[in-house]
Amino acid sequence: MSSIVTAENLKYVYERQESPEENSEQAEEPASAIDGLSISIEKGSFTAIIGSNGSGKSTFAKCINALLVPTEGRVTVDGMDTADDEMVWDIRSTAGMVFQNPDNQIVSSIVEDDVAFGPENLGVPTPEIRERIDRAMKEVGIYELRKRAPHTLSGGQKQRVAIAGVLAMEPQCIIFDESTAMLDPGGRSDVMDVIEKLNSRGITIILITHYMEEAVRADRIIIMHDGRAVSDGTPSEIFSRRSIIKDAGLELPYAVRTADVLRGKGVPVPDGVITIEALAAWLADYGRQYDAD
Amino acid sequence: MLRDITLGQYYPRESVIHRLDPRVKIAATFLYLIMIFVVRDFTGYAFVTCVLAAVTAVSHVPVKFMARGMKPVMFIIVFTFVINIFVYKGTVLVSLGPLNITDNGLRQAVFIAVRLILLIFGTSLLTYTTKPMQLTDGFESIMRPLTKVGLPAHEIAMMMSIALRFIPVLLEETDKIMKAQQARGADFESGNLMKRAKSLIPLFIPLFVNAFRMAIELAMAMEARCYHGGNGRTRLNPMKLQKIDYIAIVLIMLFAAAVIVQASGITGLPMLWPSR
Amino acid sequence: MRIDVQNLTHIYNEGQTDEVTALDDVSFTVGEGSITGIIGHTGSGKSTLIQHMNGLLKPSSGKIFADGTDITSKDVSMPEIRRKIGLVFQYPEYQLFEETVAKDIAFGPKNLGMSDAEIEKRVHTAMSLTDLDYEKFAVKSPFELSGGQKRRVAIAGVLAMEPEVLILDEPAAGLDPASHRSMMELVRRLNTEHNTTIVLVSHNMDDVAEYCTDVIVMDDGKIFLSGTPREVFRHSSELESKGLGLPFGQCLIREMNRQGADISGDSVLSGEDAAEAVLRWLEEKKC
Repeated sequence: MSSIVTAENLKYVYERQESPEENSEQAEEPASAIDGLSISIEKGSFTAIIGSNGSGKSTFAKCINALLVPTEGRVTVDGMDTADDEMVWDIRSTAGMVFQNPDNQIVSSIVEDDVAFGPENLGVPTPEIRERIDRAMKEVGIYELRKRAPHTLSGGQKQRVAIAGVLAMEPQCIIFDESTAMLDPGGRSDVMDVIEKLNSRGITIILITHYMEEAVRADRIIIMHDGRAVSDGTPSEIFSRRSIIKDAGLELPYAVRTADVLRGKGVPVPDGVITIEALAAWLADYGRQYDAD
Repeated sequence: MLRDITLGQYYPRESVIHRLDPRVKIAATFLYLIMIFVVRDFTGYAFVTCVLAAVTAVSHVPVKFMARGMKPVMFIIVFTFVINIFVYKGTVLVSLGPLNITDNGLRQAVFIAVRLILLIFGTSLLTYTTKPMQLTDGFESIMRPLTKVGLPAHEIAMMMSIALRFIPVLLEETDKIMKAQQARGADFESGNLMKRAKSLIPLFIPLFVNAFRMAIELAMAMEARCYHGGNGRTRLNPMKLQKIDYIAIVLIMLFAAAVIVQASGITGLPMLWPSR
Repeated sequence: MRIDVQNLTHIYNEGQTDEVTALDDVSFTVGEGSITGIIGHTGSGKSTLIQHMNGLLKPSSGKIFADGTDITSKDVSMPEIRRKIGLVFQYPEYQLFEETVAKDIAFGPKNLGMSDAEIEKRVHTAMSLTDLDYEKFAVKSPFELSGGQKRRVAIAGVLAMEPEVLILDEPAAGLDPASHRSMMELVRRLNTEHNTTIVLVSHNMDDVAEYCTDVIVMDDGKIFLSGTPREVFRHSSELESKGLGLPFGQCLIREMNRQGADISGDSVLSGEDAAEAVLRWLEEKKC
């Protein structure tokens, strides 16, 4: 498989004056927010990036989207170098981005106008804009809300408006920069369902999150700490590396912690069981052996 | 309290007025504003009020809703009324110590108050019936000829639309910060003017800081969605004049003509309480 | 301090066409020394409720008593209530405004008219409670700090008023796992070591199950359920039908039953509880 996003020895250093106010996360980031990161993300994959505040994960997201240009090293999106000024609009329409705060990324006062903002900027012909936005709004389940004003929507609905806005640009890859952090559980699960749906139809997903329960739904997890990727693997590999998780200031998913408790009591839960569904299924199945007796 | 501010908001309805081309509505509003200043007597104002009432009725925007929007500007109207009532010389009607209310003063005060009310009602009808995005598109389109002399028409229009989009967000933010500071014992309501002004610092500083943060985040989100100014932009709803727009243009011309004719006095009809 | 809420009703825009009943005849008690969790989906009236408990909103009808004093009465002294009942809103870091951290924390005590020496002392105490090193942070601008640090400054600003009841709206929202954990531990420490009664609004059912002594479930402006976490989360189907989540342990048991396991575990909350229930279930099967 070919890769859609690559970072080669990426370094990013914030200049003093631009760092603190930019957003709450960045103030914590040390002078060098990313310090030698080399990653390649496969087309069509679902990758979660986890790490504590100030680990550089948000900065990395902005480097992919060419909102930030590497201080050193190289980032490419579908073969295009993010440092190349000519390519910047192609890069942004190839790798779209959904941010954390639902309020601060909606431009227009009407939902459908906002969804159309991206295609309008790209110069898409009018009849096609209509097709694209209708399709995007239906896909994320906000078509019924298309005439509403954004400030009357819930957080989860606003975030889905933002996703539709990115989808209407027909990207190959979408980066979610802590897009679920400010949502309530209902909103969060709606957004996660949309993310999985998009991935299943081939859109590459890069999900930056604090929630381990969301990260386990990815097919690859990268742990960032102090501007570096300290661990990289499938969710079951990652969550068996207990000390790395702890050192990176993260926590194990509840299912893994519970499986640990059970193992301690002699129930042989296999290592790869990291989701609640898998744990429940394994336990139900394990119990059945006694039914047979 | 802050939620009461409805001025400048869009009120979604399916009406003829809502469907009109924004350029027509902007031009009509502009002409209407001029006409308010052309009017010289209260017959004229009665006519303008009737027309405004008719348009409002057609627009399906509830008068109650519009009246609520007037609340925050009521102070200005009362203020100008009070100022005007005392400054004009003429036949003294009531004497309050050194201040005199004259017939001219009373007339002028009522006249200006009516003018202000008509002005605000009329312009707010424009924002109630026109989506902010259309409004700014309309402005942009009207101002486009001026780009040749260096006017950044698109940028101005975009700034206006974002300002409108963020009014409710900032109001909510203000409400939140106010309550948070009140919870820490802040008192916004009592004390003399100086003390009250000072008490607003804990409200305004966080509000500005947050507004800047919003602006930075929004700018980034816009860039991420390939915003690069007005060049090469297409539109979801491009503007095209329809039959109804042409009818509206004719009607507004007739309205203007009627006001001018009446104000010029050539009809020979008596003027109701005109200024001298 | 104990808070009694009696028949509290709040109607926004009363008498107008768009009137909304945000609270509808709500009665409950926050016990002295408890950590009372308030849960409910967005728009269920939680936020309106806590604003009444601090006197920021006046009820349409009903009363609230703090240790027997009616705080909804006109004669009550607001500063006195604000001093006794502290309220920390969601994302409180966005209300910081002073030049330095110490000055910002001093804002509350100053408004209450305390002496400089007393204020100084309280700033010190509040900062040490929230793990903010005085030497390092006192003279810094709050705007230079990280998100997590700013939040602790904001909470210290309320703690400096030394409230007997502390109401917190989603204090851990948006924090990374480590900061989340330390925020919740701070809440527990305030309760156990400083005897502060806590009212905690949260969407995180695992936090509620782990830290709260009592839970109130709000739905559509009414109290839907109340009791200890075990009593409340026993009603798992009703909670799910209201679009609310469940603590992990309860989810696991439900999921196992969906997979045909037939395991009983009504009072299960945490993962540890669930593990115990699983072990019991296996034991029974072995016999």
